[in-house]
Amino acid sequence: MDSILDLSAVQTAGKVKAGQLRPLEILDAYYGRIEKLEPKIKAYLLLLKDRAYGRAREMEARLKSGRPLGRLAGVAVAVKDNMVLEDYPTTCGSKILEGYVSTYTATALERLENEDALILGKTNLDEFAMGSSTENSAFGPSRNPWDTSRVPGGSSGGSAAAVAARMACAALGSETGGSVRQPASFCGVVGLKPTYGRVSRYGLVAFGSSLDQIGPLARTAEDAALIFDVISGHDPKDSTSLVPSKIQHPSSSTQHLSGIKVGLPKEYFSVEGADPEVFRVTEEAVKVLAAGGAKIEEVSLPHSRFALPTYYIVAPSEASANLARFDGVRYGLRAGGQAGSLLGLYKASRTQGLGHEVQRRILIGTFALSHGYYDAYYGRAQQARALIARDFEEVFKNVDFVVSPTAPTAAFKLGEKTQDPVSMYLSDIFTIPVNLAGIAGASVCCGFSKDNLPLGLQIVGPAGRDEDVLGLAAHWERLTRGQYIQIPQGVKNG
Amino acid sequence: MKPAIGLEIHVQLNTKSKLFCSCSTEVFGVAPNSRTCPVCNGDPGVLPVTNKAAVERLIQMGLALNCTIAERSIFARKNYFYPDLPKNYQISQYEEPLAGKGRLDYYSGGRVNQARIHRVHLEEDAGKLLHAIGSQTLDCTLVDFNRAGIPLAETVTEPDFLTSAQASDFLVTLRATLRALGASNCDMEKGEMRVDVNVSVSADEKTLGTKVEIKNLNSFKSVRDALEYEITRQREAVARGEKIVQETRLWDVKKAQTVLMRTKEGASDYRYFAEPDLPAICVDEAWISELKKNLPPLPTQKMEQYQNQLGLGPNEAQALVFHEDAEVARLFDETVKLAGANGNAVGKIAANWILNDLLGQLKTRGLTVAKSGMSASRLAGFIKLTEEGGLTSRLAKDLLNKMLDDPALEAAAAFKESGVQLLSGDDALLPLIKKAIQANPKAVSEYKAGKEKAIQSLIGFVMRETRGQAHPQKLQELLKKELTP
Repeated sequence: MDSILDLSAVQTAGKVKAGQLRPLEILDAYYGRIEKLEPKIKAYLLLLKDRAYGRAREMEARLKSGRPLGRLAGVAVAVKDNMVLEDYPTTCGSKILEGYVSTYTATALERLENEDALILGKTNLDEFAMGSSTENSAFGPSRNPWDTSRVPGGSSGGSAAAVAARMACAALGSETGGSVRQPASFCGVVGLKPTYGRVSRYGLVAFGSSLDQIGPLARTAEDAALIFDVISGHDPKDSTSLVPSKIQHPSSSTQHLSGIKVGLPKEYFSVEGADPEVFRVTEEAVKVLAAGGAKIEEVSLPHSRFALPTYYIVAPSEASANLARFDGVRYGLRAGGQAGSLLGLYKASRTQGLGHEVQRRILIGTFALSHGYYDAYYGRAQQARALIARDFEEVFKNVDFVVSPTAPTAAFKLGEKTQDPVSMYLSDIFTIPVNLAGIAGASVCCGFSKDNLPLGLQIVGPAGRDEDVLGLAAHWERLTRGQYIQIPQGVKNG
Repeated sequence: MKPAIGLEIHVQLNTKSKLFCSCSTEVFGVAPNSRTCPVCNGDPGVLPVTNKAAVERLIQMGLALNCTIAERSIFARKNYFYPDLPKNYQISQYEEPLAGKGRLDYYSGGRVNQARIHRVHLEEDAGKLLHAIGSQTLDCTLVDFNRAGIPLAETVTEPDFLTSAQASDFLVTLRATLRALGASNCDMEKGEMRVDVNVSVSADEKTLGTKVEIKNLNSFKSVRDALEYEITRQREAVARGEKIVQETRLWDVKKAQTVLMRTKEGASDYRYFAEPDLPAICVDEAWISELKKNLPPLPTQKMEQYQNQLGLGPNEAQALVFHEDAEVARLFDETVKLAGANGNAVGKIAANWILNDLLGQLKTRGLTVAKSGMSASRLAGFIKLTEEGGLTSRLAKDLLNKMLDDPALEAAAAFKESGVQLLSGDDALLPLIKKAIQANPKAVSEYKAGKEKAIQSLIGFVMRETRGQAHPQKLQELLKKELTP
């Protein structure tokens, strides 16, 4: 194991800025690692080697001339391939974007690079971020570094796998319903779903616009906080991005565990179909928090049981409009020959270009918005969504955080759930209420299953308190002396 | 059978940049797709940001149409697939439009009528499909997205018009109102104003018949013709005992008839839902009163001003205020301002010159005011010269034509160039006056008997003799002196 690969993002940037570590060495180490492991893990869809080396050389020149480097100097990051980078392809894991080259750069990526992060490449995902395993990627699934017969989770599975396997120091993923936290849980890394509006969505290919949010995946809570700090903040290009003065519950800078109140939502701990082992490990973790000084309380989130059906109306409805632009007319895959007419062109291009799960959701969403069905589906889902959010607001009047398992199971086997969409959807049962409520949620590794698979602890905080959520995750890491920050055995020696 | 007509009018709002991005709205005559960016092209990952200026134009429009301005208004996605629509949905407003119920007074057949406004909302325009370039038909279809994202205001009226003339007169008032506001240029040739009409006929005074929509009418004449045709078609159909079907038709200018586009069954389900990428537009009292304060005089106010302060007749006032060429009213206002302080007289004189002479000349020459080079300062100079110099109308008309022939020519120079020397000295005029008196004994005796008008034939005699070059005031003065014993 190369020692460069063992450095956290915070450590890497410190060493680079101090002139103790060269950006080019970092790239050599990571691309070397990727070369070895990629055939096994399949985390990346595109490597940006030339671009990264070009930037690294430019950074070295800057360093030599005594000019300062940014806060992520030399931090090698992977980004999910649904964020656009000017002049490079963005596939969204879909065939329909075949040949498409992005015309501009996403704000989050611009912010990473403004602080001198090095983007290694773009990672695999479920097509258009629709899925929980990366098995919906048109380019084949990624593998879980802890057990390559298992999925890394999804949809940001490529990013989570890359971070877990040391094929990137940190990564960006995106969430619509659990797509950062669930793969973070499956791969044993830290993942944050920021409060809606804290990270600009400009340049993130939209899935469910009222839910989508970019979030960091990292080895430690401290790294996740650094990345979050860099990518967050108001962006005039995103009208839904929050201006600092509008953030409801700004994070407090000091974080003492003693005296904080942690709520355990009783409804979450009695969910059917969850692995009992998951609850056992979570309860152990809660005991550790209590021993560390946290006050534990049972709380109730009664409407969270409507979260999955609500989500599967809201997200597909918005997706049905967001994905309408992929029609074969202006870019990407255009079906030839049989098209014949305009309608034929649309049908053939979308049938060939979009996978089954994406088609399923477009159909669900189109139906839910249809005349005569709108009130019964989309209208009611919005009402349910408001109730789910209100539950959290009520609970946060009494407790600082809510904790639960991140996912109901550890990583499952490839192919295990592909024939049963509903069981796949259940994978996000604990994470989706947080997206619907638009609040902050993180996952941090809190133990291992009997098969030695990582399990995540979900920490949820009120809107705006993202830093505090990661603060609690960092406390957890200190309390447990970093024992759950581990490299998967199978990829330890490459 | 009584017809009921409602209108849906799209106008392009006057803003420098598009509704949701910073691309220029100057798209007339520029290269295709040269006014586009990732946002208005609908590239993956882009987000809209609302142009505040467009919102303000629309609020001003709402105020001018006496609409209720919504404190909170939202955008919606209107979903349909078409290659001119980059995202395959249009950002529009559905529930909670910016401007709700209102009314507009309009001039029709010498009367002031009132039409109720149902709503005015904000939306983005689509691109344009090209099936041919010039006369050359293409074997494919090209798309120009320059127009995509240009801000439009859609005004929907209640079905308050009984005749095609009323509908057309309303449009004339609306156009003048929007131009006065600076909200839109309403140039139909540039696609800045497009009209859809709804029309139904009903035998029963109290209920409305089944409505038929006629889409995309791009001139007021088409609006009138299509309505006339459609009203007759529906009346005849009902008379034959047929049922009118709810459908959308198009106006075929060449055939001069409406043709079926689609029936209700073929109508799209637009699956409207609130646009998640844009926050609600919140309008407070302070903002409204600020915009209200800056409202310019509107056509109804101008009608009053022209009649009460400038002494114009209602027809003259209407002809100026509502002229198709927006420059006409502007030329008039500025000319009056420049031509002098004696308001009334100049107003009337300027109106006469513009309406009776200038516009006729422009029509013959195929020019607009803007293209003619007839500025307010040149026209004011012309009026001053003709008034002070006492030019006969013949001479003045020649002078105006000279100025139109050469847009660089000021009135004074034109007059000089004409070489005309007005005869105003007693020596020159008196012999001619005596000749006139001798030749017209009847007129002389009539005048002496108290018929003042009789002097005109004596003036006419002298003018003929001098080919119009006698100074009219001086001539009249001397004539009266000669005729007074």
